[in-house]
Amino acid sequence: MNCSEVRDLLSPLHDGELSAELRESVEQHLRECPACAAVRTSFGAMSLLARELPEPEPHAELWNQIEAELPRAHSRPVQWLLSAESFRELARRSRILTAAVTAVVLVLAGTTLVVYDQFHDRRDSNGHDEHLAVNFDQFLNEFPKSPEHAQELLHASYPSNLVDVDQAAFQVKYRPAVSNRLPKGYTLDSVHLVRMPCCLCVEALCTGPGGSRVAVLEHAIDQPVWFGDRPASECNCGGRKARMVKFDSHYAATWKSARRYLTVIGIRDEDELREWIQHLDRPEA
Amino acid sequence: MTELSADIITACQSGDRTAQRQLYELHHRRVYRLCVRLVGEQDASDLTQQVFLKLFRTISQFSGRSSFETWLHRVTVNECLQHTRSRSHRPEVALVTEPMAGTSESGSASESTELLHTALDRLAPELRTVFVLREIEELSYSELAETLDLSAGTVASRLNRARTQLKVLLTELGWEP
Repeated sequence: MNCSEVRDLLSPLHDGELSAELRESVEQHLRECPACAAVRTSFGAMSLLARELPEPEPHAELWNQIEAELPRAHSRPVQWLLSAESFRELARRSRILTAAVTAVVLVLAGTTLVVYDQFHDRRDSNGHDEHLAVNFDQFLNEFPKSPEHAQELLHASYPSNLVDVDQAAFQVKYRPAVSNRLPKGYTLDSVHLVRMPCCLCVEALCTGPGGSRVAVLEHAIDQPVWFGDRPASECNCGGRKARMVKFDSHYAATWKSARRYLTVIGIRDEDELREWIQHLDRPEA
Repeated sequence: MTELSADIITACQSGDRTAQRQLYELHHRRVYRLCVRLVGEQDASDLTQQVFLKLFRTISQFSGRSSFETWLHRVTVNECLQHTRSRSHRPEVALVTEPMAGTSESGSASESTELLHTALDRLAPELRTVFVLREIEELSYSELAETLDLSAGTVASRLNRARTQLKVLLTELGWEP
């Protein structure tokens, strides 16, 4: 292979998209050609640079702005049906038709109330699901007594699947943080995918030295609602700003990793939190 | 597409507002991030809004032949490219020197990532798009091909061009790998 042929294949090589045979030929060339090897190295350096870009934060009012535009897009036929002008026009045409339209409106109004009661968004003024707060509070209360039972409570509220790390990665399209090396002495007991209102959440249960248990949740959106009204403190651990709450004799903490939020439940203290952050925040494989 | 997303999409196709909110919660960070990288922070919120409005208007046309994520990426990229084209017709906007996000005075981003912002902004839109979708959104070549309606071979050659030109731009700005 000459340099020109190799240069065309450097991106597929870098992205792991070359067949084994071609990869070997290109790598053979790279071992002998410093110029092409330097280009490949620069591709790697740019990838690292791209991963260091800070995660931009959409502003909190964005959904409200979208929702404000939505009724116009979805309610035109209803507006026509119920507009005073249209109603008068219909009334002029026929008193029978007027009665029929009125009946339809009454039925629609009744149906709307029933549908609203069944499906309306049970969120507080901050946009958090009130039921989620209650369910998660039960999880936190139960966790020190029986982590398995706490899990069962959570899974009773939200659909879940027991998976392995690879299956989880396939479903959520990222390598879960618990696939990194866990803090010393900890082993991974189970991984579940839980369909929570925020996202498809990766929930893992780990056992540590002396049988201590820690749950790790990886989620797309910050969920302060999980901790309810418990007093929270902020700490700066290993370069990450984490929010900690105390429950029973243990702590739960949440922080933002490079791309997602991580929550650990059942840690002893800030030192242990620092250790978890150091391990879970390693670059994704 | 996860089963959860499938349920939400079906409900969105019926105009269910709660499902629309759930779909937004699931995907808005990804859409916003892509908009920031492709058109800059200044216009990213407006474009994210446009993407979701378009998505809810047209979701009944989503047939499931491609994954929902691919469809969402395609809608987002198209909106961003359209925006870039319309912006390039306004001579008063200094497109090539406008930072993608933040400024060097912000102190929050490293010098190298600031250079990357500037270099990405100077890259041709179609090269910037393929680089961002690969390096930041981590799309595979087959996903890139489907999203951008290109052959796998064109994806590879476009990525090569993007990286080569980006390296030149970064070097001009003083970056050393």
